[in-house]
Amino acid sequence: MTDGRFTCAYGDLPGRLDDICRYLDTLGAGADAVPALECINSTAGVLTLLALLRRGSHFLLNPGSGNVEPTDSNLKPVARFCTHRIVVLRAPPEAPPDWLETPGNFLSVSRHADYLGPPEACDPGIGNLYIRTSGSLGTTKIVVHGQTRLFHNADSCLDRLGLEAEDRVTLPVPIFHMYGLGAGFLPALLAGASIHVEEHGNILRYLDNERRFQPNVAFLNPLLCGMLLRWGRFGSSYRRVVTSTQAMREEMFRDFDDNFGNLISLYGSTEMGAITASLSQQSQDKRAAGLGPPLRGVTLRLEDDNKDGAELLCLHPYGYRGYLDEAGHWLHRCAEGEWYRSGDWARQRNDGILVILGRANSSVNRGGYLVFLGDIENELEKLPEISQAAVIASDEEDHRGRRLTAFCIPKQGVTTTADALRAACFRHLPKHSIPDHIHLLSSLPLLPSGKLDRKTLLLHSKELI
Amino acid sequence: MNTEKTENIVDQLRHIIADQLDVNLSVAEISPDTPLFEGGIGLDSVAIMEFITLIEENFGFEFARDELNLKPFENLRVLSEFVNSKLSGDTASAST
Repeated sequence: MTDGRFTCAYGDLPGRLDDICRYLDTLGAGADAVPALECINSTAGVLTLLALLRRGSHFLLNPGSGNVEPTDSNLKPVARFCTHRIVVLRAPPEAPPDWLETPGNFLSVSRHADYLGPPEACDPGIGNLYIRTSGSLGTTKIVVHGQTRLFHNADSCLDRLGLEAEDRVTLPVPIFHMYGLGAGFLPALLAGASIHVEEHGNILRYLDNERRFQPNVAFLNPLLCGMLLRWGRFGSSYRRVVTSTQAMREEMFRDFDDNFGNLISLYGSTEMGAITASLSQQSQDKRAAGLGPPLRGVTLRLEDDNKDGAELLCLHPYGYRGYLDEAGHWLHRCAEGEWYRSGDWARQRNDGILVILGRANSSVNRGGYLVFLGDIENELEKLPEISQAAVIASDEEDHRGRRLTAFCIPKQGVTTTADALRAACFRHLPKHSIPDHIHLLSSLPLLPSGKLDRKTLLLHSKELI
Repeated sequence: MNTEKTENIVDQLRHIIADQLDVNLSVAEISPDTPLFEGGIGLDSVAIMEFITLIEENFGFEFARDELNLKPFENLRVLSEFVNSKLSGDTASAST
């Protein structure tokens, strides 16, 4: 496995993982610690992640910035049930070739000052992976995965995606999210494939690494697929390309499938891991339209038989164990045989193809992040200039996803401008949550019931653009 | 090298980033020697894509597939030299 600079062969893995465990032991973060791992897509990140998984540690997997001092607004806090904070550091430009051989070079370990006590889900013997849902603004919950189930789920993915030891798999999607980890990295590891991890989905870096690593399997998202279509090397021979399911236009799907190789959509969630994917042998028509049968052991049903679609429910043998809050208390503990509400609307075609229609509640997928409109409204209303805000997602899309328009009522006596508010958004919101347009109103339209009239606002937003 | 020309291109690139990219930076905040990505100006994957498109539109050329790599995008000074060589038809140095 490699990140383009540092490489570790499968044969060297046990020794490297031992070194990392010993290093953590000397710093007091032994097998019984519950650390928060701030991981990045690098060989060092992969090794640290594997070291914790191999020793069955309970640990929280957080996105990292590669620095001890956080520089990224997407960073998530260390939960209060974590004993330590382990940061995977990015290699400095001048790092020598043997940089990866000393764990102290790439790990920063500190005790967590706000540690409260162990989480409730911390049974001895079964390592748990804690990972936050992708809701981006404060409403994230901590999902608990048993590590045994995590590997079972990865094994089902391996079956469905048909990865082999000869494959060269590239992962420009984060290995600290369930898609990159559970559907991409772990299945590739189980296959014994060569694995290339890459940070940030930067198209220029991707093309650089494509030339060097020559992947034949790629885990992408629709955004990266679009960039490759535009600038990629046509004729580069991918045996298989997997993309996360976020409504990719059929035309683009066909275009990509024609030019780059067998494209497969994979559908899943942070709670359930991979749920279903298209079958590689299905016709392009079917793969472009939707998803194939669920993965091994998974049962799917629609909540009712409404032709326009219904909420998709899922029974998964390798799904999550429940949710924790930041202090480590159970918010929800899954019962045996409990159906999971996906929050997605779906429709089953007569030929069995499952079509995901979109989110059931008022959230949108922007640049790979699930964004709840209510969260953005709350954040806007925290600004000193604003008394009330409503955010509308239009049907039009840009590169990040559906365009967002915010309607704001300024506080009495406050003079501000839409531009000034939008600049303030850049300071307070992650990039994918910043409304594309802001309009100031003196009042918001209401329905007779007193609820916000979102339909009228949607019409407004179309007229204003 | 043709310093005046590349200085001019650096300025145009700074304006493209400040005025046309959705990154909330002013021209004054963009130095020609700052790296463009993480640890520098911080263009994310979407912004990079838009930036490439805007360069093509503003300067009226298209990047060849082999030219899209990290090297010319190291910082605005390096990029301006690349753009300059593309504009003067000097493909030999453009493809470094």
